[in-house]
Amino acid sequence: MLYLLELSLQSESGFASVQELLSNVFIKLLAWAVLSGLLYHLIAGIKHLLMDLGYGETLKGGFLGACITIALSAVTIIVAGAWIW
Amino acid sequence: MVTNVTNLGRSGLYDWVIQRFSAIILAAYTLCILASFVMNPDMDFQKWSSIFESNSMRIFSLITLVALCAHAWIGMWTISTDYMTPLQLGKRATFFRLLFQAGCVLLVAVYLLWGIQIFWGN
Repeated sequence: MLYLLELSLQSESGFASVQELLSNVFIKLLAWAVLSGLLYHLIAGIKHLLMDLGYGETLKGGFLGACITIALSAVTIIVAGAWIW
Repeated sequence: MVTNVTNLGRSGLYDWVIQRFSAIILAAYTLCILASFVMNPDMDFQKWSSIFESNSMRIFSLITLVALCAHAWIGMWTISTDYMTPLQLGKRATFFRLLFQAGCVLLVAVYLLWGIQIFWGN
């Protein structure tokens, strides 16, 4: 990812080659996988911070929080997939 | 008494605080980059490079990079001390754990230095 960032910021042609790389199906899948992991980590992390603050610290609340985390992650991962393709 | 010589803050509480503050910085930066994509649907090189050229973005990027390195190291340290113990790996667990941790430190250092080069190099 750092390599792609460096390439895209180096020059106009570097930016174009990143665009070309990202049009490859396997690179797209790889980008989606990385993005999916990041999105799930982000949402689960926000839930973790909320629980640190004392929200949803009951058995019921914990279960609900976990369900919301999975559901939100699924939605954002699908949106990310739609954005990549 | 067990002495912590490999974790970042040398104390669990200090690590806990660093992990949460760095998480907030990372989340803010992620949302910032996401917003820049949403606001520029027709992203080209000019727009893309101008975003990262501004001084405020350079500073934000560097702060985020440092936060990422701390966050990653604390996370990897936690995982390795939880799951790479004599319970799972037997007698040579300490050796393998330190090897793994050394690899993580090397990777984090490369990320930090390479990232500084990218954001502040030109």
